[in-house]
Amino acid sequence: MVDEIKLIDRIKHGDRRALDTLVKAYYQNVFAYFYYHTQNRETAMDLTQEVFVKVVASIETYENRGRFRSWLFTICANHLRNHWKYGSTHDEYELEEESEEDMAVSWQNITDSTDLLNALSQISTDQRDCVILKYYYGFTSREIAEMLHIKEPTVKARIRYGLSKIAKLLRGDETGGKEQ
Amino acid sequence: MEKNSNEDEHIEKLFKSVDIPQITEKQIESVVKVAADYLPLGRKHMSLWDMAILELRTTSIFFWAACAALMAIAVLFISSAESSFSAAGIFIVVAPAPLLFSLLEIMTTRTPNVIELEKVCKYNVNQLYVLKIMIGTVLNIVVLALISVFSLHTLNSPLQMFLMGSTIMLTIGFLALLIATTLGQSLPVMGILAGWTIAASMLFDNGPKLAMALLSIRFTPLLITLLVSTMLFVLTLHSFSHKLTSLSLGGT
Amino acid sequence: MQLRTQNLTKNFGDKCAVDHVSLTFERGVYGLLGPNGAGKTTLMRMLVDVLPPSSGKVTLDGITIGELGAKYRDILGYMPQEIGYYRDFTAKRFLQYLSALKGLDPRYANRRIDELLDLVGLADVKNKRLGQFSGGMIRRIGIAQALLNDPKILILDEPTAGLDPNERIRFRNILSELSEDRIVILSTHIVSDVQSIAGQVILLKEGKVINYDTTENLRRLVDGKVWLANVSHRELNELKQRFPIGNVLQKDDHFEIRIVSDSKPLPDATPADPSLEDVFVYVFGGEEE
Repeated sequence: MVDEIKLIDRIKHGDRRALDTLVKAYYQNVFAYFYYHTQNRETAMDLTQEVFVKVVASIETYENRGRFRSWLFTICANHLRNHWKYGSTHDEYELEEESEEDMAVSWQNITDSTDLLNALSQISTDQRDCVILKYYYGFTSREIAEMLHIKEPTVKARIRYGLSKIAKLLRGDETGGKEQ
Repeated sequence: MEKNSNEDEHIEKLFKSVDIPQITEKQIESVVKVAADYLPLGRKHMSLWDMAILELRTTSIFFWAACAALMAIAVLFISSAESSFSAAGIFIVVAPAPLLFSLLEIMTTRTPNVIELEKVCKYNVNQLYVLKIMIGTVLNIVVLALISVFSLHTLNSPLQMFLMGSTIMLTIGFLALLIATTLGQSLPVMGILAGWTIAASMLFDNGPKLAMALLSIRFTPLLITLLVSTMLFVLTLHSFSHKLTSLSLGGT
Repeated sequence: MQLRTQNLTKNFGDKCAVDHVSLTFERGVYGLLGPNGAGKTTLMRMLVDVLPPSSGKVTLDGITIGELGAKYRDILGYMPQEIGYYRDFTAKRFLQYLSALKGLDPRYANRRIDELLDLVGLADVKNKRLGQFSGGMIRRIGIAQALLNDPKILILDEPTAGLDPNERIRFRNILSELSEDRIVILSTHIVSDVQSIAGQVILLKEGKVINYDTTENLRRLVDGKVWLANVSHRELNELKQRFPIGNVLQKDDHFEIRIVSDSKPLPDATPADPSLEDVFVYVFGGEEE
């Protein structure tokens, strides 16, 4: 792992090589985030580049408090929301209210990762965001809550509902209310 | 960790097994190239004090002349006042005048379109008003101190007068800062100042009892209110100077 | 760097000043050409984030300029159509004041100010108060202040308005020196301003982009449509009703005129090489002073 604090300090002083190291260290990580969300290579690449521009543009205000990774993904999450907000072709999915009994789904017999992306695309952006940040990046619910500026129970609820929907979709219990 | 760790682990594994496209080194380097345009330029960060000194240096002669004239008139009036009561009245009525002058100065010597130039500068244009208020408030207190010194003979309790005047100024300064930073306008600030002058003169004209009560406040409570208002003033100033350099990229 | 507008629109009441303008700027000089009231100033004010758009957005490398905020302003130079100033400030002090707002180091700023005052030819009046400056001098102060922070994006609204011919030439020289490695966008209603320096020209009419190309390609628009003719005063008035007329030169007893027309307008008219001026006449009609 790179020594982030030193690296960021050098970037703050305009060091281009430090920037090179930082981008290379995190590119694939950030790209994966947007790829999970958009499932489009080109879009994910554009968004990733934009996030790095934002990171550099605001690096002077970054204080070495907390982890760089949290700060980075806060910017990612923000940028994703802006992306959806400005007339993209991707529609937001309606948040569905689900009853508690739907929640009891066992994951153990689901091993097919190829359909996971497909299922991810069918839950709401907010649910997907929390699920990805937790299961792919390993952020805790509290960290996610801080990053998204929401309350911790909201994060947990989004993860719960998101997962149960994914599980059902993966098991083929329902076709999943895919719109369009 | 949170509960259901067995299931969590399973889902995590599932996520990790998803095939994410690999991006070539060359493409990543092109990202570095774009981002490098935004590297910090190694420019000096202007602190609030740098700005204040600059503002002071660019204050016109008109302003200083007005302050001096005001001071002379106030001292003259106080020394020829019939009672210490009306002397105090004059003192309190003129208290926020230098601040008023400094804002008037902005209004009169700028051509309207200068805001267009100031808006595209790195630092927010609000700070112009804020700085004027800050400097105005501090100068005001200096002027009050000078008036108190020059009127030592006529004023009943010059120190008390000065403390009261400063308290008034710091409170007004605090309100003005609050308005200027939240609204980004100086007109309402001028409204407050003008309002104060009118209200104070009416108070001393019509409600001598209330005014007397105000004037008879003891030293200790006066000192406490002064401290409180100083604190409020400094705190707003501090929070503003922090805002001065922060960007809004990371937050919502 | 890539500055983009996407469906940028500004309505004032029910009047649409800028209408779904989508443009991409990369390094180079861009001329924004159009008659008065075409929406040039409104477009530029949105480009510098002084005026919020009614819809659409301006992005720099994909990020809206509003989000970039201070960082955007840090690399931006802007000369508005009307230069505001403080009457009591001297030229030098005014530039010092703006340098401070731009966050420049005072030592760097002072050096830069002397350099720029020299560049715009105001070095000998730097300690005079702006209140005594002529319109042309204020314009030159406007140019100087836009260059203080050595901007990567330079936006100039009618930079040559009110300059005399010498000042105009000086300005063009300044600009062609500057154009390397930055985005320069200048608006004008005077064709000769952009003819020699702008790589790309955007023709703006009633808030819409009607053409956007290199000066070379734009000239092709009127290939074979430009004619030279010698006419009398009476004939000139008559022709004005029928064709867009470009340059009119008064000779002893007649006028030498340029006519833009699809077919030969007069039997003795001779074809001429098209200029950007002719494109302007062709697209916007009539002459523009």
